[in-house]
Amino acid sequence: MNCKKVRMRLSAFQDGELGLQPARQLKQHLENCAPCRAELEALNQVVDSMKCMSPIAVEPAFPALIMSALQARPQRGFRLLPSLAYTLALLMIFVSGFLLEMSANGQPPSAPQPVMTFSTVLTESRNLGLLAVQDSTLELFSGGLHEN
Amino acid sequence: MNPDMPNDDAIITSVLEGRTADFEILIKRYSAKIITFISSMTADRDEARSIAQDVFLKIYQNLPYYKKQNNFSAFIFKIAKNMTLNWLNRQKRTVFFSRLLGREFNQPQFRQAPAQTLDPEAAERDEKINRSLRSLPEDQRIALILKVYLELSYKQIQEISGWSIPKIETLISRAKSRMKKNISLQENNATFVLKARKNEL
Repeated sequence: MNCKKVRMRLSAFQDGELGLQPARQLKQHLENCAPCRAELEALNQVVDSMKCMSPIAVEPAFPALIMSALQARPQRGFRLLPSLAYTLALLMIFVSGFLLEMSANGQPPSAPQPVMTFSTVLTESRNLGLLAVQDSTLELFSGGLHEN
Repeated sequence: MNPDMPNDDAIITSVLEGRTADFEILIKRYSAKIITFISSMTADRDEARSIAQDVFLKIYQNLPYYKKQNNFSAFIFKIAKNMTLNWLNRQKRTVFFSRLLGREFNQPQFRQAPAQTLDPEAAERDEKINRSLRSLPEDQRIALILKVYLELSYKQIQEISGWSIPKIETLISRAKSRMKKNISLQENNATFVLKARKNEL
């Protein structure tokens, strides 16, 4: 291992995170290299100075404070309401979009189709003056004979 | 940990079965670590306590989603990390909009424990370390704090952050180098100021 490689892995070595083989190689290098030893010493000083920070005291009442805040909160079941509301809102948007689309196409889903029979065609034609149809002829076809 | 004490997963099972008071054991077990982590990230001990409270409420709320694999510590630090980063982002936005509106935003200095508990030398030392920590990029700061203050392994840091082990190694290595430079720079500045004062006298 050369100095460049050692410097790159020195922090992991200090943290005890190197594998056995690389750690042994790095240790061997450190025995013969004063600058790298100094670098390791500098890293140790950084970590030591960080650990020297005054510890943070947690007030004895802290856990009880959180427990009382927990008891003051609504139960989990109530928290489902917003998500249910979102789902319903999405469903309504989807349904209204579908209905709007249908009305834009002018095809209501169940519009009844008129049944055309031969007698209605004859009647319409006579009313419009296109054909001179006798009443007896109409009676003949109005007996339920449908054009296919 | 005391061997007679139930492990985290056993406590969580008990809480989920309705013995909610057992959650207090988890709060006692982790509150100091959580507050240390948040305080080191935010450099504000009062705010850290307030964020820690929200973290524990969120943990409680998310207990049903915890998969019991003896990694509760990763689960809670992930929540703590996300909530702290959210707080830091809100702070950044406040600073940005304050400047945009031409108002002066006074970023709080590192807030210590009550003054009577700290001697001035210790307070100065803490301030120096915190100033150096604050100057690190967020990802380097998270990795270094989890390693040095919470003494987590790279594997545990990976579980919390989702970063790869080589990335964690690089982040911590760079963070230590930067801290080294920052601390020595501050010491040089302090020596320079001392010399200047002596010359004035």
